[in-house]
Amino acid sequence: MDLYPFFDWLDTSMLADISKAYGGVFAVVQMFHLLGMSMLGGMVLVGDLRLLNVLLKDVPSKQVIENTQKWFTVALIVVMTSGIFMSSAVAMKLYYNQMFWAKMTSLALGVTFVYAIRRPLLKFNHDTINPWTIKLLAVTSISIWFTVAASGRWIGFS
Amino acid sequence: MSKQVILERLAIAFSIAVICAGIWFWGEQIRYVLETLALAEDY
Amino acid sequence: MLNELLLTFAQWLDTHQWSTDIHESIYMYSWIEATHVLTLMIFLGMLCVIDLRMLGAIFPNVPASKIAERLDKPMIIGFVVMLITGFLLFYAIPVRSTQSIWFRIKVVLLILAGINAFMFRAKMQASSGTWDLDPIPPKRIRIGAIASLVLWAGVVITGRTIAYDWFDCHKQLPEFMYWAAGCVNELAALEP
Repeated sequence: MDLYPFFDWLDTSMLADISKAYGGVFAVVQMFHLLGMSMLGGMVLVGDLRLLNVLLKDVPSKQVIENTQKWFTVALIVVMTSGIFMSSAVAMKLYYNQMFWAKMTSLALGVTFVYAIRRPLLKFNHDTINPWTIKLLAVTSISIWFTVAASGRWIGFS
Repeated sequence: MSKQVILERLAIAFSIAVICAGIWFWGEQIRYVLETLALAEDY
Repeated sequence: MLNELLLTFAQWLDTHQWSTDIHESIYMYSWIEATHVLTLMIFLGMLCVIDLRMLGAIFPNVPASKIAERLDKPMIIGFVVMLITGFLLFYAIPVRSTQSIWFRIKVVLLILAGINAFMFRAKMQASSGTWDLDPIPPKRIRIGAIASLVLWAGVVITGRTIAYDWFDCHKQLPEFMYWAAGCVNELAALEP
């Protein structure tokens, strides 16, 4: 699927007019991206470290997962919205950037993983799930979100 | 097969695939960095 | 005066070989910077969960002190990494950082956030037994949590804007800005 037309459109859209014109606006939106990222990281880490039995061991893992879920989604919406805004400012550059595509791939994998597999599975009683599967869920989650963040930062350097 | 069993198997398959992809991806990054540093030294 | 002192200190740091090495490295500076930004997910991430609990927005059925206590260690680990990487970033480019108005504001906000956190911990110690089990803590605690989030958001944004040169010393700035940012030479040049 060729995404060039979409990126070309984004690059010259009204959104791009705003994001390209004002460095200050871009910086503030990027701040929301960073803060959203921090919240996402916090929710992911608290959940995953609980699944790995490292943190909050005396709170039932189901409770930890349930509590971090909502704010994870809030954070995800914040990073994706701010991300789209920032992308419009440099759309064509991103289209040709390998790291950007690595990030988008990881993001797609991450979103699929969380909403199609991990969340539905963890709705069941955690004691009935194979403990190794639970640990695997945590490790996969941390790996994916770390890759999203790290490849994201590296876009700026590549 | 119950929904839970399907999800568990999906979780395992997906995780293994993702972790392998991750190892490959980061391995490539490390290789690229080492190559660049080696080139810099030669220069 | 303070500006002269800070500039002299920064210029001295600038003479260090390590400072130059990091600054001119192919990857080192980028890795330190990337670690600094990514560690936000650990440090601010944990702080976020704690502050949200103090606002009654998360884990309402878990005692607030337990959340604060348990997430403290990963948060401190994150904070230490932020401090070390932050210092190294400053050390690599000391003069520009010292004369950056955004960096100066960031340091002030860091100190304020630190004071807020310290006062907060004192209130936490005094709390267990009173509002600890309440799903929504009392107003003063919520205000402390909001202050915390606002101050750290300020730290993050000023950290990001350091990179922009809007108010760099080499620009045409009002005299007050030269003073605020510590542009010692430019201020001296203005004198009749």
